[in-house]
Amino acid sequence: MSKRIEVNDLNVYYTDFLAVEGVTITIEPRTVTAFIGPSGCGKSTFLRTLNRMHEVIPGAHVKGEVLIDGNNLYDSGVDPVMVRRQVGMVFQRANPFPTMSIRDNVLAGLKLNNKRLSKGDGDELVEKGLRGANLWNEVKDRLSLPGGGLSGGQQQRLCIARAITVEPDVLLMDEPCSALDPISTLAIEDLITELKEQYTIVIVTHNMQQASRVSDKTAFFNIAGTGKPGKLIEYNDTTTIFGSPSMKETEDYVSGRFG
Amino acid sequence: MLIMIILAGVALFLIISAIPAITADWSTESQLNTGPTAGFPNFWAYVGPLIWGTLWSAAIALLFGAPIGIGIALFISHYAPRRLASILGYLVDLLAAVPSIVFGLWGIIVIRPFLLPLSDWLAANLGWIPLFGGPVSTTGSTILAGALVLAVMILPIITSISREIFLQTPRLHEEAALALGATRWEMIRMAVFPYAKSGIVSATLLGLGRALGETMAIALIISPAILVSVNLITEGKNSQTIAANIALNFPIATTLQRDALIGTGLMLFVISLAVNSIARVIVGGRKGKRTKSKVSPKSPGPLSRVPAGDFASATALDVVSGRSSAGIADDEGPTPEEDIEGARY
Amino acid sequence: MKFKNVAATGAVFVTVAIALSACSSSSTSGSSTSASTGAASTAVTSTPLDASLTGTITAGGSSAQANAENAWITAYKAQVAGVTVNYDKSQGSGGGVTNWLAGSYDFAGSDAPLKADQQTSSQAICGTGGALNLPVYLDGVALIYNLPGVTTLNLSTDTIAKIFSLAITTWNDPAIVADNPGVTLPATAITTVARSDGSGTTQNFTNFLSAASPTIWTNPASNAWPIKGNVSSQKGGSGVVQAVTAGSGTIGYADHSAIGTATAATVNKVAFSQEGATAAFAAAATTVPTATGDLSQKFDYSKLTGTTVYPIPLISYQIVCTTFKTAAQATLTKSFIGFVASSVGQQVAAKNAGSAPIPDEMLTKVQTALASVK
Repeated sequence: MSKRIEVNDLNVYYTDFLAVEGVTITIEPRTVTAFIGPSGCGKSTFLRTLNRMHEVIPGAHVKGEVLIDGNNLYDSGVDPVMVRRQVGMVFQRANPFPTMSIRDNVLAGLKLNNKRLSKGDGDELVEKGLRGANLWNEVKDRLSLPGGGLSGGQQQRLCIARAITVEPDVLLMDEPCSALDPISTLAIEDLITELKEQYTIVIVTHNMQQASRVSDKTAFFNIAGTGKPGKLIEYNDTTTIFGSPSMKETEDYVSGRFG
Repeated sequence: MLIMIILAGVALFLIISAIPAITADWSTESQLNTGPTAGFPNFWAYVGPLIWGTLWSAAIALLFGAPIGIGIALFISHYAPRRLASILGYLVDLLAAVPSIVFGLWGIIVIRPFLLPLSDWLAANLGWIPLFGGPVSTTGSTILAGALVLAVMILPIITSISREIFLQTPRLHEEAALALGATRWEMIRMAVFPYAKSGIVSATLLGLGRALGETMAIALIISPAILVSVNLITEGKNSQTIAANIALNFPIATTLQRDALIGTGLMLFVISLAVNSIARVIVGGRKGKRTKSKVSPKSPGPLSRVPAGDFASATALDVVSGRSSAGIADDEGPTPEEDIEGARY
Repeated sequence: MKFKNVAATGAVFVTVAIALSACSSSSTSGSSTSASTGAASTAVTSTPLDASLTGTITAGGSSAQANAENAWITAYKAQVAGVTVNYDKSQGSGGGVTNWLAGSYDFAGSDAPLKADQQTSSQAICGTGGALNLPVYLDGVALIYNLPGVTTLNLSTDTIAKIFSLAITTWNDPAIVADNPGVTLPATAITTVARSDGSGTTQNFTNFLSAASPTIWTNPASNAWPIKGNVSSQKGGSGVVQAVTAGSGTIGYADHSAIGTATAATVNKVAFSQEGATAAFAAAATTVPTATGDLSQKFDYSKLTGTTVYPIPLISYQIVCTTFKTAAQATLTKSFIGFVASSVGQQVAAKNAGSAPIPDEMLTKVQTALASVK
């Protein structure tokens, strides 16, 4: 179920404004890839183009291609809804559906596919999803309570459980720990390491320790100035990026002299 | 406080004025057994059918008006392109500015003749259902015509309130649904409706309040009778509403008949107060619930609200994420309650 | 012939009066002269209008009178520029009487005279003399119908009673056929159209039905339409006219002056005319006073026969105190009603509001009654 992502010369526009320019990158299956860079450099925007979530903003569009196992997401006739069912996403702020129970939150994506779930199957999937997100032991006694009642870290893991229950090929994470305390952050990072056995994971983070801890490869994005497009500066093994980057900009950023 | 005094004053006025008619013996009192109040043994026999007619016409109006109003609101908030949405929103608001007498005349001249073929068809094919029982109206002044015009009249209030609520749906919830592979409609069912449920209910109740009190359009369009009936397309079995009955009979009423009409007004006052209180309780409950639920505080608003085409929006996502992460980074175990209070209210 | 002369001069008068309102008041005497000389020798004139009067008359009530009131006010103001008359027709007859009894009005317009208890309570504002009901407005109740293919329709009194009591339900009923020899009537169902709001028109029409056809129409006379069932009830005379015209197989009643282009049936072969209504008043109205000097009218409908008398007349009153609170207000009101109840005033209303002139004999009595008001 894990798949390779190939991006070829991708430009992202908001109406006429070029936000991200000329990104070419290949992300291997069963790896964790971290996107780092200063605020406004377009890394989140680029991440969203990998499951076409950028399209929820009116006027946003791309030029170029994104291939997942050779299939271009932007071919005409590709339904963004189908793309998103294969490329899951976890957001910066935990966003469980507040009126749904924990159980219904986990199953929310499956119900979209109009699958009729027997209660037994549902229970099984809920347990599988919550175990996959390392949340099962904490919530197994209160599955029918609203997801909004959990702590921030638990909520974020619930969102991860929700995302992986639909069994996507790729999991995108947009600063998943930025709103969490260090202990919750650690729990998520452990989870990411486990999840990479099954999924291709791409994570945007501002936290460079986090990037070095969890990722196999790291992509550094930068922006030349206000109004200029963001660009992919350097992409390599995480150890290389943080140890001996080939670009001066990258070195400045990872060593804290910039941004 | 002033409002309370005024409200209490109105209630007191209604009660004091109505008492003579409520306590009178309608069969022997010479002022009450003639004219508009003739044929009723007491006040309650008179006001009962009127209460029914008031609720019945409002219910039919809601049946048509609420789904259409909510549908328009949804179209404006989540489907229409920005330009069309703002034009539509403006038009709906404009609808609220049309005087009810104009709606009444529109009902007489346009809607009544327009509905005649429909009522003929309903009577011919579905006449066995009591709702469509005959004899079918030949002039078109049916409760169906009146309620349809009423439905149009309550559209603005339902649409504008639900539209506001829909637009407030936290963007995070909408994105959560979309990222799971929801279609736009599935996203609305998953994220917008649960969030807006109580708002929709209170919008509908406010529309109901408007429908209950509507006078002139009903008085002009419907051929009324003071009886309890569910017939929709007859000439002589359209249950009269309290407000229209007062408007029609007040000018010729004698002193005691006026008291009787004021008594029916008291009943309308009670009903309207009840409807508004229920709406208020629901809105109140909604606030309480929202405070408890951990809604993300910094949601930038609904998708359609994000301005397109300028630089700010181009980097909106990154900028917003950067700012909020900075703001929240140091408060461990965020307390959503506080966040919500701060951000939303 | 005499009547036609009067009508013609009435028209002249109105033209002059309207012209006057834009001109100086110096020609007032001229117009008065032309009115008085033009009218027949029996014409009833009020005491000459005092153009120097100033003040405001506040009144309200019957909406049937409204058009006539407008015409009277315009014509009166042309001669007595200093007096403003406010007539609020939104009150209706009942509201007019109620407000008048509360002391807010100088006179009330009402389609029905004061009832006994109202006459009694009027003593609170009018003193022991009570109030006077002065008949000033005469019209007819027209029966309008819309029956495609039928352009002329005649209905006898009993047939009208049967139709409106819902005893007859189709247009080819033998009773209607018998009234209309030679006319092909369709089997269309009859929809009767009545007033949903209380109304003096309903009062006058049910007066007629209950008096002229008591065995068929067993309901009491009332200002609210008493028949329940397949009746179309509409707000206002215009609502009735609209519903009758828009429907098919419909028949309704309305003030003749308000029916517009709707087709009216003849009643006992008599079509409405202003002359016919005036003749009906002369033939059948008798005074039934509720107080000394009062001029409440009651019709003896059995006398309304013959080819020149319209059988369903409609009267509306102006109601005043026998004793006003202030002499000044009494003078103002007497001046205005005196004009209304003059031959000229009646012609003004006939020309502008389509009403029928009250017979001179009654106008003389109104002037006499008015003279006694203090």
